[in-house]
Amino acid sequence: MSPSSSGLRAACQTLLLVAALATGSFVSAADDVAAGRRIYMEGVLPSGKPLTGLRFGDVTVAGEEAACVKCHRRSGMGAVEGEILVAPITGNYLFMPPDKTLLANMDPRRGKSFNLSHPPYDDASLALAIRVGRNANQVTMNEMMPRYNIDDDGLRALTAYLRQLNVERSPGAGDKTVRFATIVAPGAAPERRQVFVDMLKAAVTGKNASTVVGAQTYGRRHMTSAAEMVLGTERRWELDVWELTGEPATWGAQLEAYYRANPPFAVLSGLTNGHWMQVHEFCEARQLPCWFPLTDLPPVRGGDFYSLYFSRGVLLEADVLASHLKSRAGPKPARLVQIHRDDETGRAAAGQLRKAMAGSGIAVESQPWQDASAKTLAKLLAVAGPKDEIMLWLPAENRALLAEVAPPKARRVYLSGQLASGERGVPSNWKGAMRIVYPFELPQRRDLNLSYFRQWLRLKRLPMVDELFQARLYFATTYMTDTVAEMLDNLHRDYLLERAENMISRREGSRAQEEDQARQAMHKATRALLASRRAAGDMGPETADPQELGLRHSTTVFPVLELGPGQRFASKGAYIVRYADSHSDTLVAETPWIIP
Amino acid sequence: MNKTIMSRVVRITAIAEVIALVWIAAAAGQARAQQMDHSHHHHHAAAPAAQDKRGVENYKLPAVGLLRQDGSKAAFPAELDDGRPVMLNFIYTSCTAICPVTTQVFSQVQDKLGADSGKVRMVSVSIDPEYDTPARLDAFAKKYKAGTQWQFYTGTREASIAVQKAFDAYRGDKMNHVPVTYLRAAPGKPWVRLDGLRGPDDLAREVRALMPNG
Repeated sequence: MSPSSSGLRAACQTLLLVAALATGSFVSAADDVAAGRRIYMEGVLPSGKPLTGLRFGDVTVAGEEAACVKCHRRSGMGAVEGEILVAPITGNYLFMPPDKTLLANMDPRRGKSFNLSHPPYDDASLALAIRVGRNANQVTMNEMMPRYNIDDDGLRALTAYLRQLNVERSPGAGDKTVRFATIVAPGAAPERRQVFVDMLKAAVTGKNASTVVGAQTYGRRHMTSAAEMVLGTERRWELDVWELTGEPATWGAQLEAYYRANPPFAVLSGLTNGHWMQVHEFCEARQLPCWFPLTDLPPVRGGDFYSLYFSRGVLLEADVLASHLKSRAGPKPARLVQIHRDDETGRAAAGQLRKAMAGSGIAVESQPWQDASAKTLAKLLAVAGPKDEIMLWLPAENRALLAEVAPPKARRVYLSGQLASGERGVPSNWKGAMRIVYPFELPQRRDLNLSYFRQWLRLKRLPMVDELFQARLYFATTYMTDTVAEMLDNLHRDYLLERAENMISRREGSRAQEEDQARQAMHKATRALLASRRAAGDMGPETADPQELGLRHSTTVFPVLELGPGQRFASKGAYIVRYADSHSDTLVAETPWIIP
Repeated sequence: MNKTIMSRVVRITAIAEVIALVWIAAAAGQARAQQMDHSHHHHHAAAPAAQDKRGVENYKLPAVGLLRQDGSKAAFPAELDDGRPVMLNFIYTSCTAICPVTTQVFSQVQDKLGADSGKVRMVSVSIDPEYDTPARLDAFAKKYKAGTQWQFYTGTREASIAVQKAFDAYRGDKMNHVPVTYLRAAPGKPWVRLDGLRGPDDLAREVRALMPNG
């Protein structure tokens, strides 16, 4: 071997050594973060032992109960509960100098302490906070914060995890824009699909038309919060429409391709006529918020984080009906015959009802309706005798067929309000025996809730194709607008979901109240005007007074929307309703709101 | 909707908010300075939380039906009137910060009372009744090893709100809830209202004082 080649070899060896050292240290830093994540999320120390801590000097918390995530949440952004502020502990909040700290965590309930600046922590002061409960301001922390028994390895790992926790905004959230996508699955009725996309585009255009990026105080024409205005955290919105085609098995790859081209901050609603599991799984895998899609069959999987739904759809209806049939006064049906389309939604609904009826003593017979023809429907309905009852899982697009079929002999015909999308279009000769499982607020009560939505639709010159459907979409957009505005610069995907969990019922309540107050002020002005015109003889005698204002908790088609940490379905019950008479669509509630 | 009026309302609201914001920022700064000053003088004492209060109240409880964690029906307020002292709080099972702590404290009080735990009736009422079905409450009770003297209750939204209002605990939304414990020696006696987070020693002492031979 020549001298030069041995020199080369030596050089190569040195290089390899350096590379190995570098990789080694990199791996150990990454290991620390991973070990820290386990402490944070699961309360397990690097040694494998459970993390333990003390509250009130002698109350031990251990393991999962002691994990940081329990109070500070997955995002590290903390939360506000009543008068207790769980401080944000992301990398920025803990370690950045105060002037660099993003003013955040603005919470309408916690106005006075939304400025959370403090001297930056270092490893030593953070150790004091974690072990003895003394914060960077040298103040003893609340008893809510356990005094942790954590060894040096654990502390190093946890510190490494906190240093990197949500220091960057999530993908899709830029300096001046936030990108959203919406997902349209194949099979939706064309007019629904059209109004769905048109409404979303109108919402984004409307938002951007009055968005002023930067800290200007003039030129805004829509609601922004004071903090958002002062801090200039308002951003323009961009919206991509992701159209899926073909079989659900191929959707994952399509979604992945869309995502790679332009990753969004969140998926803003979505539309499907059936399958949604592929989208749900994609959002979970990509850690991408999937915000209130319009689906009758949302996947129900405990522990999943990234998808929020209005309700459990047809699965909820099955449980409500079973609960009603089991507890209803009077004679029980001899048999429950359920008729469902032979598709994914129909089968899932029927399966859930069969399961929920187990132990009721009532036999359940499922009849798949394959060809969706009136003739077959008539045949299936004839299966039920006069002492039987029927559950009809009838999608809105098949509703017109009822007019071609004679009502069955069965004592009761229950209809899925979710699938039929409401009570309209039922022929009068069907109405007497018909009961509807109705997972919405009663029409007469939701009128007030929806007046802003209806005005918005008129202003945007958009058609009313299906109010129950469109009102839900309207909520999804306005709730996203409000939530993102309140997040200021802290645009982290996990934080978006945590805020959605915590703020939904409060936001609904206060928004309903604001709308009532605005309406009341308007009515005062209107009444005064009418009175003066009446006095001047311009008008006839006084007719109906403006609507009486009741206390509302909702601006949607649901009586109430409520979530909480880990909750993923905002509306949790349904009424059983009947028609007041066979000549109108007026509904009467036969039961209170049933929560199965 | 009259757009001009609306935009004016929006503008006025926004201006008022900016003024409020500036004021709040100043007030917060002042409060922080005071807080730091305070801690400077009391280096090692745990700062007593401002919300820790004790009051004696004559609450009038509404007649409502609730459900126990086994799904059976319970008529309030008779449910509380079996003669034993009562210790009551409000919880919800998906709560992340306060309720796990207050529930664990109840659990520790139960342990500290030992053989005497059966002499008191412990009551936890859900403020998220639509989510907290009897089955969820039952799992929650088991997690905190609740004995038979400790029952969890849910019901309709309206019933839960009525009970919260009677105890002056309703804050409009479950995320606004504050930690409060209520104690009563016997039917017809007034309620002791303890605001703020209380440790198990504190509460066990309070409950023992209510027992006939306490």
